[in-house]
Amino acid sequence: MRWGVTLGVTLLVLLIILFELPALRQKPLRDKIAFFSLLLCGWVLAQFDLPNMAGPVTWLNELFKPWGNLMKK
Amino acid sequence: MLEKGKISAFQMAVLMYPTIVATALLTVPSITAAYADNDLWLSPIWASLIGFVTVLVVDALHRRYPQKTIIQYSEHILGKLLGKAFGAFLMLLYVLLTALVVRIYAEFLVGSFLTQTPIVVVISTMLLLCAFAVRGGVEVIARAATAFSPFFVLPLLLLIVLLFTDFQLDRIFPIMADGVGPSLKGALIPQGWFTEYMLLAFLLPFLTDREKGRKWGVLSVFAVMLTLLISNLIVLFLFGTDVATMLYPLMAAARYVSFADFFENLESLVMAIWIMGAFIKISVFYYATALGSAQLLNLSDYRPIVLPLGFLITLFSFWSIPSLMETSKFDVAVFPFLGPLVLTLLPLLLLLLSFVRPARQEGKSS
Amino acid sequence: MKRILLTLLMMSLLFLGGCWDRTEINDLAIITGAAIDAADDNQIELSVQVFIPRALSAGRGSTSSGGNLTLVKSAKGASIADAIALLQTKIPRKIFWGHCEVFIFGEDMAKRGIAEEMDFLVRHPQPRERAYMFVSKGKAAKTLELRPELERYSSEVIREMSDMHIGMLVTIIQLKEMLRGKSNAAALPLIDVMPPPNEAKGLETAPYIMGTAVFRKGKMVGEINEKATRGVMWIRGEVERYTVTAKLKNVQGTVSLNPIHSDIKFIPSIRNGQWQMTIKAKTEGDVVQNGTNLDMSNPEMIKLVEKAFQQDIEDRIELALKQVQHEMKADIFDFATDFYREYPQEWKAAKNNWDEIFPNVKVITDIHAYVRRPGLVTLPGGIPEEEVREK
Repeated sequence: MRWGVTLGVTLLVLLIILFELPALRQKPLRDKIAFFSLLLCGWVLAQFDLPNMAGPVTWLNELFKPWGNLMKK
Repeated sequence: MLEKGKISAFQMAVLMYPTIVATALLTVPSITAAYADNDLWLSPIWASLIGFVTVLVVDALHRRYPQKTIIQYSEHILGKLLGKAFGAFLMLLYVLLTALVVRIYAEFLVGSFLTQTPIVVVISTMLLLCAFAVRGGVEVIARAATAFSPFFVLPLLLLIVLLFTDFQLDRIFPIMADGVGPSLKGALIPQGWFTEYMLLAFLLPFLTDREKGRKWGVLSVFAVMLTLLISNLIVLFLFGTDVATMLYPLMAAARYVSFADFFENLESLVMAIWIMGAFIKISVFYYATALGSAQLLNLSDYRPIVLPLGFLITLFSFWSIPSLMETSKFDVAVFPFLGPLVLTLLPLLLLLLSFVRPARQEGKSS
Repeated sequence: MKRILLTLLMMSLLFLGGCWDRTEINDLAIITGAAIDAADDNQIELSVQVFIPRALSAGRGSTSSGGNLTLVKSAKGASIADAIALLQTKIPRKIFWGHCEVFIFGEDMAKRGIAEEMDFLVRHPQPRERAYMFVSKGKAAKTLELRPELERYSSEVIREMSDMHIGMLVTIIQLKEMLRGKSNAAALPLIDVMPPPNEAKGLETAPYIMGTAVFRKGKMVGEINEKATRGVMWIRGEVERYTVTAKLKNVQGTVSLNPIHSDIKFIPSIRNGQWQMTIKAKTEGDVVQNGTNLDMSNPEMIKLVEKAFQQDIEDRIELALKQVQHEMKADIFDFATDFYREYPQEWKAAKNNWDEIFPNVKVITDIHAYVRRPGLVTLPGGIPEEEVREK
C-alpha cells in the first residue's frame, strides 16, 4: 500500500549516501556512525503515516495545555 | 572548531533580521489582532522586551565562554551527563522548530500561489537549497542575508507609499480602550518569535569583532520590533480590526495596491520576498541544528550530517501536523510559552549557574 | 562518480520542469466580471463575463463598437463554489478570477442575503481584495451581456464610473469590513441599465450608477436614489468630483459650484443617555456657472452664495438621514465605530441595543461652506452690466 513511499524514501537515502560517500570516507568512524544512524532514523520514520500519528507537536500541545487554554478567547 | 568561517557583528544582525521577521510578518499581525484588536501595533513593543533579554543573556554567556556555542558550554556548566541531555533536547527542539518553519513557509506558498503543487515538493526543494547554503557555512548564509536584506526592507516602505491614500489613520483609536491587557495578551504571540534570538548562541562565537556583538544584537531586535510595529500599523490602517480574520494580512495589503491604474497586484513581489526571507530563516535554523548536533556528538565535521538532518526535518514537518490549523494552534497555544521557557529562561538559568559554579572546567577548555 | 552524480542531477530536472501550477495564458478563461443572482430552491445563479482574447487580436476593424470582446456564461448551484464547478464544465479553459474587478449581486440575491457568498470572495485566493462590489436593479446577469459603446465591456464601464466617485465605491475588503463591523449595516452602489436609444440596438447600452443599496445584517433592506446618495457620500466624506447647484433665496437663477475639497468630522457625544452626533463639515468650491445677476467679485454677494451652498448640503444630508437613519434604520455612516472610539465603555454596554439606539441618535449638522474662487470672469457672463446686482 505504501510501497511507493518506501521505494522513494529508499532511493532518496541511497542518493544522499552516494553524494556524501566520497567525503565521508576520510572522516572518523564517529562521523560515519552519526551519518548512517540519522539516515536510518529518517528511513524508519518515513514508513509511518506521520501526519496522522501522535508526535512531538501533539506531546507539546498536551504539555502546554493548561497555558494554551489561557489563549482561548 | 567545526566552523572556520567568520562573520562581522553587523552581518550577524542582518542575518537575524529576516530570520525573525520572515515568518513574523506574515502570520503574526492577524494572530495578534485576535487578542489585541486595534492595539495590535503596541504588542511588538511589549514583545521585543523578551528579545532584548534573550540577546543580553546569550551575550553574557558568550562573554563567559567565548568561542563556544551553547551546546559546548552547557556541558561545562551542567556537567557532562546533564549537559548532553540538555543539548540533545535543544537539538530535537531545533529540528522541530526548523520543520515548523518550513511547513509554514510551504503552507503559505501552496495556499496562496501554488495551489496544485504537492506540499512535499515545496518543502523538500527549499530544504535542499538550504542544505547547500548550510554546507557552505555561516559565511555563505550571512553573505546571502546581506545581499537580500535591502529587498526585504524596501518593499515594506514601498507598500506604505503606495497604500497611503487607502489608510484610515483614525482606526488606531481608541488606544487601549480596555487598558493595557489586550495588547499584552496579543504580545504573547510575537514574543515567541523574539525568543528565537537565542540562535545568537550559535553565531556569536564566529564574530570577527566580538565586542560589538551585543550592540548589533540589540539593534537587530530593535529593527525587528520596528518592522513589526510598522507592518501592524499598515494592516490596521488598511483593514481595521478585520485583520484578525485574515490569514496573511500583509499579503492582502500587497494585493490591495492599485496605483495609477497599472501598478497593481504586487503579491508576486511579496511571494518573492518571502521566499528569500524563508530561505534565510530556514538556513539559520538548519545551520544551528547541524552545527549543534555535530558538537553534541563530537563529530569532526558537521557537513556530512546536513543532508540526513534535512531528511529528518522534512519528516518532522509532517509528523502529527495534518493541517495548517495544527501549525497555527502550535503558534498560539504552545510556542508563546515554549519559546520563552526554553530559549530564554533556560539560558538565563545556565548563566546563573555559571556564576554559582565558577568555571569549573574553564581552564581545561580547548 | 562525478558523472553518475551529474546524470542524476540532470534527471532531477525532469521532475522540476513539470511545475504543477504551470498555467499558460491560453489555458485560462479570464473573468472580467461576475454576477450573482438568486435562483429557485435557494440556489444561486452565477454568470461570468469571460474575456475573448481572440477577438482582440482579430483586428480592430471587425471588433469596433458592438463587436463582442466577451461572452457570458451562467450556471446554477448551491453556492458560488458549487456554481463554478458546474460552470467549468461549460468552458473549455480554466476559470481564472485574478482579473475580475467587478462583482454584481442581483437585487433578489441582495434581499436574500449576501453573507454566504461573500465568504467565497474573501476566502478563495484568486478574487482581488480590491474588486468592486455592486447591486443591480433586477437581474444582475443582464448587465454583463451589454455591449457598451465607449468601453470594451460592461464591467469596465461600471468600474470606470466608480473610479470617478460618482456613486459609492466599495471594494470586497470594505464590504467585508462593513458586514463584520460594529454597525451591522452596509451600503453598495446600485446600478441599472440605461434604456437603449432604440429597439434595434437592444444590447448596445451601458449600465450606470443610479443610487445606493442599503443593507442591514447582510440583507438588502432598501435603496436610496441618486440625490440621497450624494447626502450619504457627503456624510461619509466621499464626495470628490461633483457639482452643487444651489438656488439662492430671493434671487432668480442658480449658482453652480464645483466643490474641490471637503473635510468632514464626526463628533459623538452622550449626554444624559442621549446619543448625539455632530457632523462638522468644511467645504470649499469654485463657481463654475452663475445664472443669477450677482457680482461674483463682491465678497458680500459671495456670502449669499455660500449660504445657499451650505443650505443645499444641509438639505441633502437631511434627506439622506431621513431615509437611511429613520426609515431603513441602517447605520451605513458607521456612527457605531465613532461612538466606540470616543466612548468605549458606554459602547460596550450598549452595543447589543445599537439597532434601537441608532434611529434615535440626534444628528446635528455644522456646515461651513466657502466659495474660494469666482471662476474666470467676475460679472455674470450673459447680461448687460446695468442689470448686475452689486448689493
